[in-house]
Amino acid sequence: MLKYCLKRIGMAAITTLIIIIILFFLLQLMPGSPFNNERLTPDQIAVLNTKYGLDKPLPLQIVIYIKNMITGDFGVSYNIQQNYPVANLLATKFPTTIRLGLQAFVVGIIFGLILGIIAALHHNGPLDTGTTIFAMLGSSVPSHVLALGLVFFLAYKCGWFPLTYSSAQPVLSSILPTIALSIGPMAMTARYTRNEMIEVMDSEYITLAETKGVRRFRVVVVHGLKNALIPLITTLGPMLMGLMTGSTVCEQIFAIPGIGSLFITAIQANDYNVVITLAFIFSMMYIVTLLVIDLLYGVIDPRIRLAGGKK
Amino acid sequence: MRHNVKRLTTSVLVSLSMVAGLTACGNEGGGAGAGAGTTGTTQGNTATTTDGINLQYSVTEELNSLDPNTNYSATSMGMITNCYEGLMAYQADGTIGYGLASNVDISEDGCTYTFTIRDEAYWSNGDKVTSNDFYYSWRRLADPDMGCTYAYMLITAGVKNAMAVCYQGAPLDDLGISCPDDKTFVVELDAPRSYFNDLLAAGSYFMPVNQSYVESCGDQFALDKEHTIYCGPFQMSEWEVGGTTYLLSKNPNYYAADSVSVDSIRYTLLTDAQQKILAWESGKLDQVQLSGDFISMYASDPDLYKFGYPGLFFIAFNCEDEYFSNRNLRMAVSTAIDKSVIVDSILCDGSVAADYAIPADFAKDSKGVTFRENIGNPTYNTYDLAAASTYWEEAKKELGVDSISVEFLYNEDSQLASVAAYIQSELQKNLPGMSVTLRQTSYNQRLADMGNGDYQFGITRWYADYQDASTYLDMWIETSNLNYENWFNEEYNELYKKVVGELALDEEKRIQTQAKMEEIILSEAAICPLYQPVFTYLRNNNYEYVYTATGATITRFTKRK
Repeated sequence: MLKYCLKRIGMAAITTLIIIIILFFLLQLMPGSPFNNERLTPDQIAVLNTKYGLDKPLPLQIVIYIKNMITGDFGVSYNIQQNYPVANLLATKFPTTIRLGLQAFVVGIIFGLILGIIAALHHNGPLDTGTTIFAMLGSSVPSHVLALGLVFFLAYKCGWFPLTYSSAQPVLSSILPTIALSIGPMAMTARYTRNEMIEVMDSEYITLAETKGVRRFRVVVVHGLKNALIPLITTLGPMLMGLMTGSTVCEQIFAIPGIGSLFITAIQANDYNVVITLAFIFSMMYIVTLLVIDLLYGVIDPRIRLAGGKK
Repeated sequence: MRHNVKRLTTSVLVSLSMVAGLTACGNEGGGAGAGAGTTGTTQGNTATTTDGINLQYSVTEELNSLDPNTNYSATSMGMITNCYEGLMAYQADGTIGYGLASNVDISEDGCTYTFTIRDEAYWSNGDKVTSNDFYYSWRRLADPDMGCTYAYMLITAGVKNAMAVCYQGAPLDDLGISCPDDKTFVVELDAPRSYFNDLLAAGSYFMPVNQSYVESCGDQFALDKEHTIYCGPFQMSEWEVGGTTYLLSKNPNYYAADSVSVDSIRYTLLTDAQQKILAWESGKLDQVQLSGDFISMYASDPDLYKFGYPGLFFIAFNCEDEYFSNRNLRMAVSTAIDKSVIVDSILCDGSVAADYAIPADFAKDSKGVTFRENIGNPTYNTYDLAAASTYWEEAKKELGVDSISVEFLYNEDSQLASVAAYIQSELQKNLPGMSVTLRQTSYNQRLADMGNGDYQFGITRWYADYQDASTYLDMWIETSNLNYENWFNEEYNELYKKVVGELALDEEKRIQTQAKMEEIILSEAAICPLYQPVFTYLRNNNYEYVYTATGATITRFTKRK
């Protein structure tokens, strides 16, 4: 297992390196430069390029970037927050995105599981139909519409919540964004859980457990749910990542100072250092999450043993 | 007034029911974000408390720094003009008067300005404002190593040797400014500039910075609250970098603090159009910019306010293109488009069709008469299908072709996309044999393509940098990097030299010469003007506003009615 983990970490480092190199090349293909202002003359742009080292050959830029990165220096922002260290810029935005993402993840999973189990246990009944409709709506309604609907009814009409996110009211003002962000994952979890649970609850070992007189709750949770969870786990990684990398739409509507819209702005503005740093962090997050999911697999399902672990 | 709940409910429900159909995630601003009302001063308001005036505005981009010299974002420049002050400043009646200078002596030839710095002006850290603060700031602006976007404004202002220092490697000491003592700041101009005072009052880039403070901050100067000091009417009391809200409050150290009627201005970063409307309806915003359907929804609202910031959307023709180098072809295109359809049926926001290159309601002379009124409102290349047809036949003859296929460039923007599609259909219909394909790119790509001459014709726009027709006419001189048309005209260049040279102080002749320049560029059809944009706002009607000559609001003097 340890060997497997080390191998995966080694691969992660190489993957990251490749990602950075590819990104550097891709960014060169983007139109314009970080200094896209009609009023700048070519001479001024040349001065700015020299100032930020963008006049150096690309391979050298990559080497310098990686060297600095290892020491924790991700460079400065070229235009979003001119000359401000990217690390500091991200430090102000990441915590909010991560917190909201995790809140939405936990809420989505818990309620999704509950809905899925209820639907499965009432297979073909009205509760099942209701849950299925909810799941369909939840996965098909655009988050823009959902977020606006929540703001309109719960914040504007009822006045229960602030209209926008505010760092002065971090809990109350995060409730609506959390709901808006969690509906998608909730619907997905509910659908997966329902389908898997129906199958699992039909299997012979459940019948055996029931005939042995195991309590209903224990049958559902320990024997049923644990096995039904396995396919769901594969979807958790991407789901969590989707939430933690920020949602541009939700950030726009709730005025959340988050990473999602920063990433888009940085790409549009050619703020290279911000783009590369974010891409680097996102890749690391993906790699770690996928590794954890793979390891979790083995824990939950003893039938699956990691190839590396067997050797 | 507020609480048009029914209308709003309908609107939100309609937008909810439109569900996925609409792709763009509700970006408001209608592309107006750029210049709307941010020059020099700011906008709107609410709050119905009885005591102080606490204004609430929204912004569409984050504050990126409060460095007057390096900044170029409209949002940040608006805040800079509230936190700093220039040598001249807007007064409570909207005119321009003394700012941090208490007096100015102008030499007879109009080329030397000797400013005396106000005795009672202090920085918020207690330092006195001195002439060196301006001297250091202007040198910083000119310094090529600083790469300041607005360095070219020194050239526009006519500061002696600015071109050589900013772009041609001359030493900074050559710049025509000096500070013989702590109280005196001298500016030498190449030639007089009628709009020099406007630039000193409105141009955030010309505002002072405190040398010892800037040097003590290193490269962190003005990047956050801890590294900024103020000499203007307001100071930043809440500014969390990366956050979404900023609070400006009255600066007690400002020499004219008593004249500032506004206690605070809160800016909140809001980019979603519907969310802004909800904030407005809940009284959380004192001003909101409207776009699209919201304009007609609030059409009869007493809080509605239209602001025609001087701007022009136009078609740029690449005059080095194999086809568009032909004047008749450019004239044919210019006369074949019915611009009234663009403003009345596509934009529907009060924008005005333009048959001229210099916007209307702009560039007032010393008597307060606008440039267009002064020159008798001439129009050029108006919609005329018969003429278009003649030009088109001529063009085909001269080019030796029966039909041509051309590509029209524009950048991503839902409104521009509709305008481009309309232009395409008009040209194909009215100029038989012309086939137009559309090329939509990102904004950056559009700028790059036009800058590199990698296009045939397409839409671009320009917002005035200062109150003079030259802010437009400058674009088409041979040395301009904004001459996307690659159009060079000897007579035009000569007239330009006169405008900034011998005629600089002769207002009447200068304006007539500028009129001639407009006539030349339009009779050559290097551009085809389309429309002058208008920005529509909802704005708290409980307040009384003070405006500059250009119609921008001077926030600090806002009063309760």
